Amino acid sequence: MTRIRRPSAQTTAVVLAFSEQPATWRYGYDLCQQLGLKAGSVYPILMRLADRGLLETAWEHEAPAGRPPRHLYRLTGPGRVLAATLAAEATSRTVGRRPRLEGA
Amino acid sequence: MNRGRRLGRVGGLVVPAAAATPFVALWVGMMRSADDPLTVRARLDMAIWMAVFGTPWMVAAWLLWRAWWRRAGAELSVLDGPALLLAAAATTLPADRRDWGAAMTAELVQVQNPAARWRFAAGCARAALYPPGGNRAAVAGALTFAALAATGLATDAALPAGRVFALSFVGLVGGLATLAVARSGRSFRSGLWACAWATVLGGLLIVVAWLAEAPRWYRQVGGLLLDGEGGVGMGANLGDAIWWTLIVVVLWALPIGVLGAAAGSAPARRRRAREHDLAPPA
Repeated sequence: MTRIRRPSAQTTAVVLAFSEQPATWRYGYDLCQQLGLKAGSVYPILMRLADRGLLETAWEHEAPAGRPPRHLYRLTGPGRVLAATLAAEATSRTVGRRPRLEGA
Repeated sequence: MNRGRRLGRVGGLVVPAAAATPFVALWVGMMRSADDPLTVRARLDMAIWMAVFGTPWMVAAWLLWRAWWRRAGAELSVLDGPALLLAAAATTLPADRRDWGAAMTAELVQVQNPAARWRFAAGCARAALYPPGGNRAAVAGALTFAALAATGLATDAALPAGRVFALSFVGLVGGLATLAVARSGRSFRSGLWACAWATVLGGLLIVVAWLAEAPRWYRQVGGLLLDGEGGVGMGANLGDAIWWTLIVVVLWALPIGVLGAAAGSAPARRRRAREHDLAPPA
């Protein structure tokens, strides 16, 4: 796996959204709706994650008649490791801030 | 007749007509710029020359249109606005990203609300036009526009006679640079396609700019645009434009384009090699 720069807030949100149900295949449009992000932001993120081997992609096997098969995404092993790291960082930041917030 | 067929026939008429427009415009320009009234015979002769040079362009444009329409046009004709927008944007994706165009198209089918369809399609189109690593193309495009504006202002003030040439040159170089940057890191094959398109479009641009500038130059200097040679009809500019464009394109642009395709695909080749080296053994 190639070295990865610190992900943006949007990339972090996408990775954490995947990590909620890591074994479940997700759709691009559903992710946009869940995160309130535009497709123009989500798809480049999905492309980058897939390029870096953090996201696994597949096509629907049985699409209903009359509509094309949809593209599916889920985290790979390295992707789950990254998700765990990002979740831990988010938690430590929240914990680190709490005393100041409570003291304010 | 259904909508698709109608659009196909209309396109089949409009595209060759568009290809013929520069030749018609040149003929009209020559008629207007002639110092002495031209005889009917002279007008007919020039029209025949225009037809000789223009007909292959019209046929070529029609063949390109027909090939494109058979491949993608018939499907596009039954799409609504958002789907058309996305389909058009997806065609610009390099070969190794085509799956993403299909993925976004499949997702758009799920969206029913018209406003949401437009929003989703617009976002996807942006992602398709500027895929990861492609932001440099936007910068190159913006720089080209800025250079065009600066060139226009500068030549207006200092050298009005050279405005068309300077703008065409800057636009051509900037467009090719933008294209090169947009396709860098892609496969050699997609680079060759980009080279082919850039060559065809660049050649057309050169001919159009040449034909636009030649009548004005002829009126002012009384000679050809290429070398200022006098004593020949202005129609000789057409032969010069096509002949020299072919020489420049074939002898110069094509091999440079192939070199560019090779150079542009080198990063992707190195990345694949690196990933291959890093991949776990099967």
